[in-house]
Amino acid sequence: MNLKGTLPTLILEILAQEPSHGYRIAQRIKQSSDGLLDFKEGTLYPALHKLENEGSVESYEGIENGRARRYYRITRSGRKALNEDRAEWQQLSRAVTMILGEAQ
Amino acid sequence: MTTSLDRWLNQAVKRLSQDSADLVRREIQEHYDSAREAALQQGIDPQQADLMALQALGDPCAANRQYRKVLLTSSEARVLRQSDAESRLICSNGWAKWVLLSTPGTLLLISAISLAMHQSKLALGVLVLSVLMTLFFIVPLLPIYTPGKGRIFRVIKWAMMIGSIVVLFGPDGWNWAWLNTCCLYPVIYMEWKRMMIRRKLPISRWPKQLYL
Repeated sequence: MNLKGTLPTLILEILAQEPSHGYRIAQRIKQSSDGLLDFKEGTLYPALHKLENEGSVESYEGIENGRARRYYRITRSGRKALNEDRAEWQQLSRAVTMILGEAQ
Repeated sequence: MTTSLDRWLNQAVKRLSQDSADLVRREIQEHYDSAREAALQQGIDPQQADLMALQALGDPCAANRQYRKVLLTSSEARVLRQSDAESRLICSNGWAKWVLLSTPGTLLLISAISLAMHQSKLALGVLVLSVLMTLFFIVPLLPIYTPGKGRIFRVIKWAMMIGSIVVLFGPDGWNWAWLNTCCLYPVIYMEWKRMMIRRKLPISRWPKQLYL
């Protein structure tokens, strides 16, 4: 299933739970959606950099299994953006469900 | 398979600045290693694991298009390096500094004298020159260090530049549009590049010239 612009919101949601690196973020999105949301992992990092440019996430160097990794964590403005995205998504979802429900 | 990853990376970092390319290479390499390790732990043979890790990354050209929207390209990095040229020129030596800083004032004085001598066209031309020199040589020294002040300054700068053209050419302005566009092209190009850079760099990493 195509993510169609929702990838930044999903990334923020994953990072709101705990700081993480790119590979783990990609796996968490796939696992949490039971594999329904599939995307090319090469596009994850541009989305992360965009969020970093906007100040929604920040990166830092971390170590995992003795290997240096670039970790990302959500910022205060990122949490605010996530809350707004959640509310917007719920409204959109409710509206689409109403229309599709009427059509049945 | 490492060569396949290298090919993927070479495609993905095309036209990116050296720093951006290094960042992309590092994070994609980390990602690839993790994906490969996970596949190997599942008992998949090494060759297949390499292939799966590479396929999961997707199309390098699509990734490159997205990277170029969020990371500095080589041309933007060049603009960033060179865009403090006015400040460097002013600060290069004391003599040049005082000549460049006093010229707009001198031109303003000449303009006033010309006006007093009823040479209104000459006065207008010299006045416009004085305004443009002020914009390019004095303003980089002003304490503009916040995005808000920067935005106000840019509005004033463009209003003054367009105003100068209107004042200089009057109703014939449209007839000389081609000349004005040619003359303003470097300024417009620089402004456009700076706008792109502002979107890509967090404010905490903006150098002074990005506010202007």
